[in-house]
Formats: sequence, C-alpha cells, structure tokens
Amino acid sequence: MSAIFSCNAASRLASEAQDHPLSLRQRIALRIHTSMCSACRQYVKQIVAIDRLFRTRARSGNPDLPTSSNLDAAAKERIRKRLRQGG
Amino acid sequence: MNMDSPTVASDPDAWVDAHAEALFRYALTRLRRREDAEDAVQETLLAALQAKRDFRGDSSERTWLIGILRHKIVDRIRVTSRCEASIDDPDWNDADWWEGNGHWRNMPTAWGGDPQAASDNGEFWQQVRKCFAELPERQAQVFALRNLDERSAEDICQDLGLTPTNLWVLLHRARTRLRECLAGSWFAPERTP
Repeated sequence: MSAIFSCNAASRLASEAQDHPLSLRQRIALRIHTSMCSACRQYVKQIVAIDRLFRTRARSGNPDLPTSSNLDAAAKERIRKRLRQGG
Repeated sequence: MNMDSPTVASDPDAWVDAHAEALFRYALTRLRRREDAEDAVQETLLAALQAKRDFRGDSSERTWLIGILRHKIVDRIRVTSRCEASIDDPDWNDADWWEGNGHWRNMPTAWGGDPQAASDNGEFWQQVRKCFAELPERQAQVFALRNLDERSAEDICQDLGLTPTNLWVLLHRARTRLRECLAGSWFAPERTP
C-alpha cells in the first residue's frame, strides 16, 4: 500500500482535518482508508470526541481543567500588595 | 442584569477575591508551572487596573480579564518558544506508535463508555487533567489554544511563530497521546458497567 494509506498517514490527515480544510485528494484518501480500517475509524471518532469535550467544557464556563493546586493565601496577598502599589 | 458590575473594579482587593482563583486555574492549565501562572495573574490584574477605563461593560468583568490574561499567556509562551526548537519532542518516536509499514502498534478499539456522558463527570475531568499533564509542554499549549480557547490554526501560528505544518504535527501528537491515555484509563472497555 502507498504511504498515504498507512494508518500513520491517515491519523495525521484525520487530525489535520480538525484544523484546516483538507484537499479533495486528501479527503478521498482518508475516506478510502477509514472505510477499510476499523482502528482508524475509531481513532477519528475518538479524537473528534476529545476535541469536542474540551470545547464544550470551555463554552459552558470552565475554560480550564481541574487543577492540582490552588492559588494559596500567601500568593493572593502578594498580588494584593502589588496591586495597591501599582494601581 | 450584569452581576459583574464595573464598580468592583475600583477595589483591587475585591478583584483578587472575585477573580484571582479563576484566572489562576486558567493560567495554570496553559502554563503548568505555578510560579508562571501566579505571575501571569498578577500581570493581568495590574494591567487591568491601569486600563480600567477601557473596560466598557459590554462583556462581563471576568471575560474582560480572561481576554487580558490570554494575551499575557501567549506572550509568555512566545518568549519561551524562541529559546527552543518549536516542535522539539525527544520523547516522540513514530516507531512507538506505528510499525514500519505504518500500521498501528496498539490499535484503537471502541471505547467502553460514552464521551457525552463523561462530560458532566468531575472524576472524568480529573483523569483528563492527568492525561493532559503528561503531554509535552508545547503540545499542551497549542492543544489548549485550539480547543479550550478555540483559536484558529492561523491565529495560533501567528501568535507563536509556528509554521502550519509544525502546528499540525504538534496537534496530531497531542491528540494521539490524549486519545491513548484516555482509551487506557477512563474509556478502557473493562470499566464499562
């Protein structure tokens, strides 16, 4: 099989399709590949789902991920002080 | 009715109470080092304080502050990226993912569990945080710009001085890694009830 029909190449095209319109030739290559390859069909479906999960989260007012650490009181106090000086 | 009345802006202390936590989470997701995130929050509030008059009240105060913070973050990313090769990723090796003939080493299979249902689950996002933290810095940054901030590929390239091809490579690696990590954890078939 030619390189464009490898899973590696197909996964690249599938990812790029999320970021820019593919050429007709690229769209056809990807379509043909995924019609024959269930692993790449899953890959496409799942990376699209992951992008969508992040976007949905950000749009619903959480433009961040849960964090392992919070802004502690000392840091807040530093910022307050700095703001009072530099206002 | 706008709860974030601009009058709050006249009191920096109240500003810190009202917004610093949220700005910090936003910055930490994208910059990942807490000192960097704290600095970015401070710079943002300071800049906002000086530019208070520009706040037109046609968006919420939070949205306005996030807009300033986003610029501060991009500035920081740009400065650090000048010092390194833009897609430098010593841990990435195509051969870890695909055989010589381009076939998957570890074939993606159907997920156990519906992504739609996961989106409201706090534990799911804790898992996402872990997977996201494993991404190399540059990949995490462009992925966040693309999918949390919904910046266009053109804008990201311009902001960070990347070529489109480099950006696509970074996003492909980020997506491939995130998919692999989530497929092996939250969406592992054996977790399905």
